[in-house]
Amino acid sequence: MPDGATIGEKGEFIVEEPFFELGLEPTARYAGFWERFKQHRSAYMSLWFVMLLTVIAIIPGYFASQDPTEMSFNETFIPPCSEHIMGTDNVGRDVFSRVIYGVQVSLMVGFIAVVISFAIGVSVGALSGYYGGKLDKFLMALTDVFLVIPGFFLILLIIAIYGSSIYNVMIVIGLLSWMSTARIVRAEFLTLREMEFVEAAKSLGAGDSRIVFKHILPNALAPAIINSSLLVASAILIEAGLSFLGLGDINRITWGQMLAYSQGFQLAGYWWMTFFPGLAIFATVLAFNLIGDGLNDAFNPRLRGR
Amino acid sequence: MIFVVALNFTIVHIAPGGPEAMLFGPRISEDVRERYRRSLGLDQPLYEQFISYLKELFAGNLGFSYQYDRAVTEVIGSRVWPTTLLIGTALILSTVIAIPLGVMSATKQYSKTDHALTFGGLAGISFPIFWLGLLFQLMFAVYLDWTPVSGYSTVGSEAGGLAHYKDVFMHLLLPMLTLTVANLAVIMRLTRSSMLEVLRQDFVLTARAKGLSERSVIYSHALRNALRPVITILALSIGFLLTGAVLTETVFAWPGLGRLAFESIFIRDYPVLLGLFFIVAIMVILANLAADVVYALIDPRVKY
Repeated sequence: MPDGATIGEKGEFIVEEPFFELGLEPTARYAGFWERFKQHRSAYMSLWFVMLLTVIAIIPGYFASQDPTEMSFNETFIPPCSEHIMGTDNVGRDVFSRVIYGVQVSLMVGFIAVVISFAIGVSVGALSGYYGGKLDKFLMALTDVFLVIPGFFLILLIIAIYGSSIYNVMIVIGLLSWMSTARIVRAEFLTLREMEFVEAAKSLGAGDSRIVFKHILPNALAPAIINSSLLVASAILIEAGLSFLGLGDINRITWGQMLAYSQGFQLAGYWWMTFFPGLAIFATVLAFNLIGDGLNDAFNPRLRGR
Repeated sequence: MIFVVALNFTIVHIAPGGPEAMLFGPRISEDVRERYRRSLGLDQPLYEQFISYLKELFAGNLGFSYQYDRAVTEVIGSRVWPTTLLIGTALILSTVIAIPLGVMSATKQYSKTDHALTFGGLAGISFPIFWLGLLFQLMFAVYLDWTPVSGYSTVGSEAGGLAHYKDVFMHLLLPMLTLTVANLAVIMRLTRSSMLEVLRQDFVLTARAKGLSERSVIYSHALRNALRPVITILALSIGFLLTGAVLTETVFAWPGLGRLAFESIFIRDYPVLLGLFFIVAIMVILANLAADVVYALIDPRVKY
């Protein structure tokens, strides 16, 4: 059996990272990526769903059936019907329109929080993996400390104290969710910096920054991007949790707030006030998780289904 | 650990406003505000407050709750039991269900069962836990009326002994199930992937080649090795469960630590928040330590 190979599902030899062994830049890792992703049907559908959500977030007015803040006191607690497909709440607002407008906050928090965490995670991981030594030890110890801290409690604390504007929520979630990205990028850097193409670049006289940005980083990013898709999902869940606890942005419509609101009417059994906003959170989070899974499979065909 | 304490202290104290703003509203006179701040030691410079906080901490004193006018340790102490009960039962139940499911999923990779379980696991980690709680509440407590809606025990009930335990149990059922479902998915996914990893290794092949039964290969060879990462996750899931407990306890008005956190945040009860955070961080650190010890027990290669 070749070195470092494993036996595949059907008994064939699978050589780990063959592209690396040739000493070439492993761009060939991306070959056939899109085709493999498309085969993952639920992930592919989720991607379309997320695109639809993005459009909804940009022009919610086009999708909503009425103004989400319009109250109507003779139309309270109407169960789902043709006019209000998700019913109305205690002051006669249309639940469907509110769910539609709620997309904005969730996506915004998800994306911006993850951009922040991505920036931190990639920087920490790259510094740690490329330079190694004491810096690596320090940064990884810091990462461990952040991993041990019960994150949600800390976020809760910070938001409760500094106020719950949507910007605070995004920033704090971003600041506290970079650890997995840092670890992944570091591991990639550790492998890549020993590769022959890096040595080749060095021997041609390329400086640190050129090697990092031109040669290593592009190859190290893919796993971090895949991980980010999962982080978007968890950022959306955290935001929903915060606004459920009353720590959301009070000036915006969020799904978590709608759920918190519906809790007051639980006993009366107005199920539509609870069911639909929660379903929206669930579907959005599930979509991002599925995309992450699909990307993972497409990127590491060897690990399919793990 | 020191880092956690320092971090918490800093965050809480740089905050705008303060407990006096919450207790008295914005219209209090400067004089009253000053007197109140002095009585709580809030007029001292920050580092002095921090030093006195540390001193008290080592003496086992977490300070005094603004809200309850009682020692923080006492306030927290009175809430520890319900949360322990909730988290403990959920942890046990989810582990007992999740590990066999994960093993089943891994050994029958790519089968229909596996696909269903994998998708179920993914759905499980995508559920907003409070939504799940609210739906359970609607279904089992409101429509079916099988269990109480919320609380720890029936208000005004004077039942003692067995009847009391039964009462608490009925109240526990829904929050426990909610937490279990969420935690189950995490543990199952991890068991599956870690099991798949192990099943590919040479010693599994050897065991099969020796002619051992499939059952013995899976349970005594593979699973034993697959459990290591699972134990890490069990330790991490203490943190996860505590987080979930904040949301679940809020939904079900379960009088535990999570609900206390929720209440304290709105009153800006800093000492309670700090104390809670401290306790939770310590619980998580201890759980991680415990995981390391268990490693050494099940894996003779690991020594300390």
